[in-house]
Amino acid sequence: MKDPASSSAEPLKWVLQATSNPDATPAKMLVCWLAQEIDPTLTDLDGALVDSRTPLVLLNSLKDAFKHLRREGETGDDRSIAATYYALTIAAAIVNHRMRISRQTDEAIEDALRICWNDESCDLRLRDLCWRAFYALRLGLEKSGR
Amino acid sequence: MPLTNRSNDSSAGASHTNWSAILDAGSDSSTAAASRDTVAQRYWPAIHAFVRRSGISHAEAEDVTQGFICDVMLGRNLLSHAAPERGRFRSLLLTAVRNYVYDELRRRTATTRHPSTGSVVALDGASVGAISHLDPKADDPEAAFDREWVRMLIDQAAHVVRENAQSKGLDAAWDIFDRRLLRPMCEGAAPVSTEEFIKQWSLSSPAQVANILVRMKRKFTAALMQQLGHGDDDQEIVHREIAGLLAALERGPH
Repeated sequence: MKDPASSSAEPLKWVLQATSNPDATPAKMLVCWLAQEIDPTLTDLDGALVDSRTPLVLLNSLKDAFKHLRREGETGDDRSIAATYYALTIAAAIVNHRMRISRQTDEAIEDALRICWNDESCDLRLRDLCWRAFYALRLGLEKSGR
Repeated sequence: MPLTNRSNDSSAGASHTNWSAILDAGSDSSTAAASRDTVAQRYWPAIHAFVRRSGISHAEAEDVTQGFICDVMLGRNLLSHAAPERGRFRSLLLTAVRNYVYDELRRRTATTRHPSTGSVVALDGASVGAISHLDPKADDPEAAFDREWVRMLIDQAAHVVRENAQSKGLDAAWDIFDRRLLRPMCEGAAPVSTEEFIKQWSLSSPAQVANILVRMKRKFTAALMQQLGHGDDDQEIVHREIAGLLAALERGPH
């Protein structure tokens, strides 16, 4: 059980997170908090997506959470960033685990990946992840003869 | 549903932000009297915590707190000196309370040294008991004041978010936020599991619970910022105030 006195600082830390980084939009804060809700140890969402040690089961849970936000987000920004991170979790599974965690068609996944890597505001590591997932998907298609 | 068991409801008039209530209370407006009540009620716990931790017995601390509110906050119209551009209201209030309590303690010491009856009187048993029970490792008066201040802010923000959620029929959202995050943080209660929320509110998945939770967390954060700020361009002020409060909380013993 947490000590009430020490943990009453926690809401203040939320405000500090929201005000300390001018680049952290309310929508970006939301996806980061969502990721932490799924895995409280996850402090760097972007880093986790490019890290090959991030377990597939975690990517799957993150994908489900972003999928929900993409559908039910309160604002257009929420839904848009959720769509990006939804695609990124799929990309991470393809690149780092050679697994598809989505029942979307290849074309739909490729379209989503293309949007991410064309987005110049997106972290370069994430754009690279999309690029590699796109190629892995293409190579997979060639191998399977589709 | 109050967040804490404190007798004083610091969420009083929570629809007013700190600054809007303070500024109105210090003005000549028709709502100034009501705002003065709101402000007095809202800051009572922080003032009382400072007084109590200064070594004044529980029974007397209530009188001293009341005295400060009547003499300084209202009598000398402390609130009319408050303005966002002049700095934090917390600092203004803390300085005023500190001076008032030190004057009070000095006056008491002088009375004890030179009793009007001409004989030396023993300290009242209750006072001695109260002072001797103060844990020397516990908060200093300022840390106690800051901790109550943070509780007040959290109570106010919670009040605003709860009212807002319930007015929109989002009872499940409030319940999930309250029992999963707020109460565990503020009262040390055990957090309710995701599975229990899914069952109780007929939700579809853990992803839905997580989404509800972070949306409410964002609303709560916005409400907290609203309580601290005064306008749209004061993110820097809010940031500094929060950093100061966090430092104060970390200084004090838990």
